[in-house]
Amino acid sequence: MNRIVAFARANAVALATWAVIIGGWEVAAHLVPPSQIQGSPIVPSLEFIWTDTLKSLSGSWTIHMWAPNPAEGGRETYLGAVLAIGYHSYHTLLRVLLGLLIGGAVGVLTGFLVSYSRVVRWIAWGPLNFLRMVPLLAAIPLFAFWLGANTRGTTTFIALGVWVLLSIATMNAIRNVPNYFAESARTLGASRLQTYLRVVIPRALPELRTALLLSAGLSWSMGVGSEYIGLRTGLGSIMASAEATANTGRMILMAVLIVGYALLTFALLNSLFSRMVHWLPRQERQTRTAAPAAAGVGAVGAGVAATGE
Amino acid sequence: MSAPLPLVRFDDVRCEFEHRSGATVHALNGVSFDVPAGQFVCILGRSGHGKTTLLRVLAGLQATSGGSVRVREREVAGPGSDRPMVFQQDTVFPWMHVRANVEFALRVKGLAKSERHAISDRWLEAVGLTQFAESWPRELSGGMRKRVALAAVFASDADVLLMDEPFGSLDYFTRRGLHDVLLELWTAAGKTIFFVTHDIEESLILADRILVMSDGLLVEDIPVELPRPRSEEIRASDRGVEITRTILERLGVEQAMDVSERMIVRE
Repeated sequence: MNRIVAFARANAVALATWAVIIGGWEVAAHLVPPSQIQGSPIVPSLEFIWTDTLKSLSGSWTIHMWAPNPAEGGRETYLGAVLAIGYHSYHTLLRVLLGLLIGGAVGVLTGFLVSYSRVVRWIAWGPLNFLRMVPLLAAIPLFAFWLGANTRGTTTFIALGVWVLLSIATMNAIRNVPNYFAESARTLGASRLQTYLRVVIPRALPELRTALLLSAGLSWSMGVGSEYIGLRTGLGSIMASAEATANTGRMILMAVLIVGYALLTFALLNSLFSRMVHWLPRQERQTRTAAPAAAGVGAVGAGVAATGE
Repeated sequence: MSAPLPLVRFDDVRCEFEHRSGATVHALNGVSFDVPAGQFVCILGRSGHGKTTLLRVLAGLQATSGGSVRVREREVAGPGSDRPMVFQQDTVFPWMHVRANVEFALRVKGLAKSERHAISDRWLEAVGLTQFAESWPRELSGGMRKRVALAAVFASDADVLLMDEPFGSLDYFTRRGLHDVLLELWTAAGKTIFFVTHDIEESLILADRILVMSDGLLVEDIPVELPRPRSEEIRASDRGVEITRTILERLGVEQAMDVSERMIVRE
């Protein structure tokens, strides 16, 4: 009890802000009339989301086991809704995390190689900059056409976006390493490669955290965007069906779920990264985390908003 | 019988930069001198008059426009483990423990772990950081990190050690403490040290010899025969005052005489 009171006191402003937002939302839900399309609420109340909307998701559970299928005359159940959320979350998470992992690994490696080798820089610099300028969400149909509207196509698409972002970010991080570190290593007898591997790359790592968290946000935007446009599975596809039926409650529920997953991804990446840069002073570690996390959540929000339009 | 070969030889070394305005800046303008092994050489001068350029040329971090720099008769063609440098900035690698920092040169040289540990133990003890061997640099003060940097260059066992205003960012008391540490290390190891400073007092405390730089020229080469350790009384002796006066005059300080006279009065 004491802990709850202490927490409330320490976060009084934040809690008050949320209370105002939720209260305002509830007031709007009761004041704004329902849409003329299927009579669905334009601003659904929390109770509506928690009951009707959530239960209606059981219609997205299409596997003939464990819960009845409303499309075949079965009733809507919470179990079916939870199974549907789990099933589609699995697909989205698989695509997003796989794309993030592949794109991240290849992107960082590309950044390291481009920064180290002049030949690689000549080869990669032009295409990387060209790809950086491409509006990625607009390329979704192209990837669906090339690789199919499936997990392979979506994962490749996400990996490409993350690869471009992290390649450029890695190059910038390397460029920002103060020259005197490398010079000090060289005068202590390190070869150019030793200096790069033992000094330049470790010193650049803290800068990469920012880019990695941003790329997590980007992955979620790209993953949900791909599913929204062309896939029949994943949280983005539920969002698309919600739009088709003007189901605002479902749109909001999916948006909240996606932001929740994105925050979990940030927390996981952040924790992993903190272990890698545990040598940084505590204050510097915290400063380097706050801004990119906020920007990453912003990116997810923008992605969700874009798919909802 | 011919004189022994110098350890370091600068022969008409020139270093020019192209300024953005198109003008050519002569950072070094024909600098020549020899330094025998074991000498503590301070390079003194105002900011922007070629001290650091001279040191960077010797480190192999800066190309020359003419002349030659030789260490043990070998032309300096780039940075090397025989000329490690302590920088003005904090160059202790923050992602390595203190011991790993001290062992850096030994590790890139390929020495076995046991051998590295034996050497780092010795130098960590010499700088008074034995109990901090497994600490992170972030856990140390600025002065302690400078000790780590000193231990790292001495542990490399190079003949020539370069120091570019290494204590410039520290407070007076920490700096004085580090002077003592550095002199103890130098006495024990017998290395040749090139130490850039703009502080006359610091050069009087440390140097066997002071090279005064002005406008990219070596304008004075002053032997400092004062006995060690150099207390305030020794630095204020006739010879100490004479050296100070010479330096100030060579650097074009108008009140050179006044300052020198004040020191005599204090004595």
